Order: sequence, then C-alpha cells, then structure tokens
Amino acid sequence: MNDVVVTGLGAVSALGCGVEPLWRRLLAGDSGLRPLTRWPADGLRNRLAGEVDLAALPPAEQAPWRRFADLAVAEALAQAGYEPGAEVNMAAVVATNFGGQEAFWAAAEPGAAQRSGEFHQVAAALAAAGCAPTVTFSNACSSGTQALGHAADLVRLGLCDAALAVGVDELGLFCLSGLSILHTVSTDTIRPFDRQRSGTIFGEGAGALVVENAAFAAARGARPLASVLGYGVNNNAWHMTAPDKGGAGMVAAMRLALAQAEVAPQRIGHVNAHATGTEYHDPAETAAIKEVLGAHAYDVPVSAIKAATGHAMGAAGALEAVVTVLALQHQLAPPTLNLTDPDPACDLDCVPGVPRAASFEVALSISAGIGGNNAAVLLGRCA
Amino acid sequence: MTQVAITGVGVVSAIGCGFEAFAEAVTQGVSGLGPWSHEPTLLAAELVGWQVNDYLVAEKTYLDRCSELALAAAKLCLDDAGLDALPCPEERAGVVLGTRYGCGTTAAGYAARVRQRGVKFATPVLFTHAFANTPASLLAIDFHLRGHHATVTAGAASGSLALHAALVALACGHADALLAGGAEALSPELLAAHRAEYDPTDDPDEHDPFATAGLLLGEGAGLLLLEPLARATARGARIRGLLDLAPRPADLILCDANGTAPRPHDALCAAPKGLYGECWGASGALAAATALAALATRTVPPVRGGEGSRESRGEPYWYRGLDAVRLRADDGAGGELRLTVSRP
Repeated sequence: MNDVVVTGLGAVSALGCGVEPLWRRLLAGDSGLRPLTRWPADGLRNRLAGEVDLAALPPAEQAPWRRFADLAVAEALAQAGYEPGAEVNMAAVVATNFGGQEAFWAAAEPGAAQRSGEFHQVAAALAAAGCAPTVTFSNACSSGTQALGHAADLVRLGLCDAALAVGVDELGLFCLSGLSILHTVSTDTIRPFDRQRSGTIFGEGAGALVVENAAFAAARGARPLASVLGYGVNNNAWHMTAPDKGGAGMVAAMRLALAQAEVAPQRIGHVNAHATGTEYHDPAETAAIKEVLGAHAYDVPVSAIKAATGHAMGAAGALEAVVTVLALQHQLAPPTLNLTDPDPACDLDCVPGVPRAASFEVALSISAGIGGNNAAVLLGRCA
Repeated sequence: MTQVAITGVGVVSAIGCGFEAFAEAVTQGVSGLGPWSHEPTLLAAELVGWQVNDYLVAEKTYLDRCSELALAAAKLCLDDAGLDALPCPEERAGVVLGTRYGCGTTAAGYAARVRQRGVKFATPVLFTHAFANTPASLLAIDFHLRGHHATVTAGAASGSLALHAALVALACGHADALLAGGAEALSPELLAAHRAEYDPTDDPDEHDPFATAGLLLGEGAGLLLLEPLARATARGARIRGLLDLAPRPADLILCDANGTAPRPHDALCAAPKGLYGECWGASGALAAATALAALATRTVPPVRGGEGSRESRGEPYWYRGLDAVRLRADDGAGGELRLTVSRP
C-alpha cells in the first residue's frame, strides 16, 4: 500500500478565514466565540456560538457552508501547489453533519421559496471541478476525521493519486435548537476538562486537507506537511446520545488507528482531544486515552481547541486535523482555553492557557458524535 | 484489493421482502409500480401495508421510516446468512449505509415544528431521529456492530458509493465483516424537498422529472453481508457472489437508469429500477441483489417498457454465459464506479 502525506491545508473558522489566523489566534489564546448574529437566540440555552464572520469572507451567492468549503478547499489546493483546473487523479471526500439541512427542510414546507441544499452539494461541486470519485459522509461530529481517514485510504489503495478531505458545517436553528434541547450546550461557556464545565458551545466552518501518495507528491516536488499513518472509525453500539462507560468506543477507535498505522501507543507524543466540555464526555475521553496509552498517557500533552473555535460539528475533525498537522510542524501543543480548575477525573497533562513546546513525532486526533460515532486519526511528523 | 464475498442479502422493496422473494420477482419482471398513495398521479414503487414490527425483536418508541427499512433489511440479511450476529468479534463488525435523504421525514417535521412554533418546542426524540446517521447508529445498537461505521450521503450515488466505501474499508483491514448497502424512504416531505432542489424551471428545455413518464420513485432498503473471501471460505459460509472494484469484463450491465437517462447501446443490459423504482440510497444494494438473482438463474431481468437492451424486454432472457454483472453506478462525478458482482 502507498504511504500517504498531507500537502495542503485550508480552514475557515470562528477564528478567521484561513489557516494562518486559525493557528495564530489559537496560539495567542483568542476565542472566536461570540453572541449569535444570524438568528435570534430566543429559547436556546446559550447565545454564544463559534460563528464565522460572513462579512469577512469574499462575497458569494452560495449558502454559508458552501462558501466555507470553497474557501478551505481553495486554500488547501493552493498550498499543495495545484492550479485551478489542474488535471490530476484526485478524489474528494466530504463530511458534513448538518450542511444544507436548514435550507433543505425549509424548502419542503408549503409555499417555501427558498432553494434547498443536499448533503452532497460540496462534493458535487468538486466533482464538477474534476474530482473523482467523490463521496460525502454524515457521521455526526466524527465526520471530519472520517473524511480524512477515508481520503487517505483511497490514496493508500492506489485508487487515486491525491484526495481532498473536507469537513464542513453551518450553524442554524435546526441544529442549535436540537443540540440545545439535548442539554449538550453550556449555559456558561465551554471549559474542556475543567471542574466547572457545563457543556459545549457549537461553531461552524470548514477544514480541508490535500492528501497524496507520498511518492507522487515527491515526484512533483510537493512539500509533505505530515504523514497520515492510520485511522479508525466505529460506533459505541450503546445509546444514541449517551457516551459509553469508560469510553470503550473511543478506545477501540484509537486502537483501530494504531493497528492500521502499525504504531505503538508509546510513540504518540501529542493528543488533540475531542473534549466537548460536557459533563460525561471529557472524563470518558480521559479514561479512553489512559486505557490506550497506559502510564505514558500522563507524559503526553493534550490539547482541546473547541473553546477557541466552538464545536464545529462535521467540520471539527477536519479543522482539528489541520491544527494537529500544524502542531507537528511547529512542535507546539496548542492551549486549551478556559481550563483553570482541572477536574481530577480529567487528570491528563491538558495544556492550559498558553501553547507548550514539545518534541513529538506522532500525534493523535480524536472525534466523537451523536449516535455513538467515534473516529481517530494518527498523523506523523515529516522532517 | 481484497476479494470480498457476499454471504448474506437483505432486501425490503415493493417487489418483495427477503432475497428469495425479491429474486423471484426481479427475474420474472414483476413490477412494484403503481399510483402513489400520497399523490396518485405519480407512479411509485411503494411498500404498501408494510410493518416494521414484523422484523423487530422489541417494539421501538419512535423510528423514522428510513430507520425502519434499514433495520428490517439487516434482520433479513442475517436471516439469509443463517446467522444471529455478524460472524466476527463485535469490534470487527460494522456497517456502511448509504442514504440520500436519511431520516428526512422526521427532519422535515422537526424543522417545521421549530420554525413555526419556536425553539422551545424542539423535541429531543424527533431531533435524535432526524440525523442522516440515525439509521446506521440504530443498526449498530441493535446488531452489536461496534466496528467500522459510516453513513454515506452522496445524493443519487449514495447506494453505490456505500458499497464502494465498504470495499475500501475491508481492503484496508478496518473490519472483518460489514453490513453494506442503503435505505431510502418515500414521503411527501421528501418529494417536496426534492422538487425544490431540482426545480424544472431552471432548464426550460427539460421536462418535469416527476411527470409519470420520468423518474419512477421507489423506497426500500438493501444490505449485503460482506466479508473477505478468505474469511468467508474459512468459516464455510455459503457465498452468494463476489463483489469487487476491478475493471473486469461483464456479461450483463445493470443500468443505473431511473427513467431519465438514455440506455447504453453496446452491451447486454437491463434497468431494474423500472421494477422497484429509484430508491437512491438503497439502489446500490438492490442492484447487487438483482445481479445475484440474475447470476443464480442465469436470467436477464425483464423490464417491460423499461430501458434495457432488446433481450431484457418482454420475457425473462436466459443466458448460459452469465458469470459477471457490472453495476453501472455513478461515482458521484458523472463517471462510473466499476462495481462488479460475479459468481463465487
């Protein structure tokens, strides 16, 4: 099977349009959370959200999620050195949880004038641009990590030379109302791993990564940013909304990734945690990391970025993979905002406040979602 | 690529539930089309009088119809394989489910409720059952599928791309056994949303695809039990056929045509959607089930008034050399996924 490398990154998030503002502001400890502006927040548990500032994006007619994806993809392709319209055997794997659904179901109502938007609209646009095959996954909030893993698999098997992995989602009343009524939303703010945590704050955006056959990338002179070593995706098979006890599903997902990568857990030197800041998830994820890494877990810096970006749902895994690639490149573990009173039940080396320099060759990024979905991807440093 | 065996087939369709009933109907050209109960001017292949409780171990508080179809197909698939559970540890058993609209009926109802009555009327049950991945999650819970897991929402290609994704997962060693296929329900809410998506006024030269002469809507579910051939052989499983991605010669092409596309002129082909309707997310597995039925009886399914080649019109056409069937499936980009079903 082929080795797989990342050659391009793109991002649109509450921290700004592009990878540069995402990384710079993340390291600076800025938060992109702010009161909702696009909808009235009446009835929601919290007015805060990781809303993308649409006014800061280049003007376009498309729905916000389409714009997020277009911008992230363009940035990733540019960094990878692909000109628009370049002829390359490139697949596209898109992930979204709610993309287009707000408009789609509005269009189903009698007399609706609004045009709809199916899940696969981003993939269809990439197909029109020449990507093949294209596929869209909707695996709740683990979707973005799955997109990266599947894209890497397509390359690994030689079904394409390169693949775009895109995670994208857009806030709307459809998702905010439901996530609010499920009490996953904090009444305060998101405090990953903190004793005072009371839930998450949702966000939106897009993350995009170009992955390629390492030999193909080398032949065309592309610079590898990281290796995609392996991934795993699974389901708790337990409950639609409640995490399984001890994070057994996350344990299994991490072990699937380690098995594909043929990497020992002791080689993991940094973890990007899903860390939603909910009462039950963070201790379960902590337990899962300790189960997989053993005593080594206490030596690994763990970062959780959702207090800066918001939980970007289907985009979260892709955005956090982008950040994890940057962490490998810069040998820096990003800070976890709002972590001031660590929960003894979350007793890992969670990096609070400011970024920490560290030396690591392999990093793990974890995602999970409603329906019991889990995903994990292992990324390796490229010299 | 790993050779993959199909060791079980579960089908829920307007022409038959269970592989044997479906195979008999599809090879005999039985049509499931009729006036749709919600809009009689449209032809649709609708499951009339179908009850999910016939397939469930325990009654559920609430299920979207798409979830119902998927759960029933999974039960039928395991029954067909002669199994109570997938033949591997739970952590190595998974599901890849394709669906275009997912739990769209519930999602539409939930969205309308929130929009019309306000956020405080959001209901957790409806919301939880409105996700595209809800059917796959319910399959995982009910059938103890703790391994590889995916919901493919790739428009009209969802069903075939779910099979593709399952083959990729098996080839990469992510699972030892997968339920792969898809499910799609039919409801007025989905049709309304679909019509809004594909507004015929966009192209004045294009006729209304929902006129009776055009798209033949259907509903149903299909799930295949896929295992690496070596594992299936080692456990002595009955192998109904092989599924692969290799570009290999095929004796019959099952067109993806749904009443709106021209047929290819260069091969023996049939268009079974003329029998069971355009079932989008379920179509890939239903086509695979059709291929298995055709291979088992060496019969080209007839489609009266359909779009197949000459041999597939009228009576069933027996063809001694029928050993491999290509599923002419969209790759999501206007190209073709080379999914082939062949004799074991």
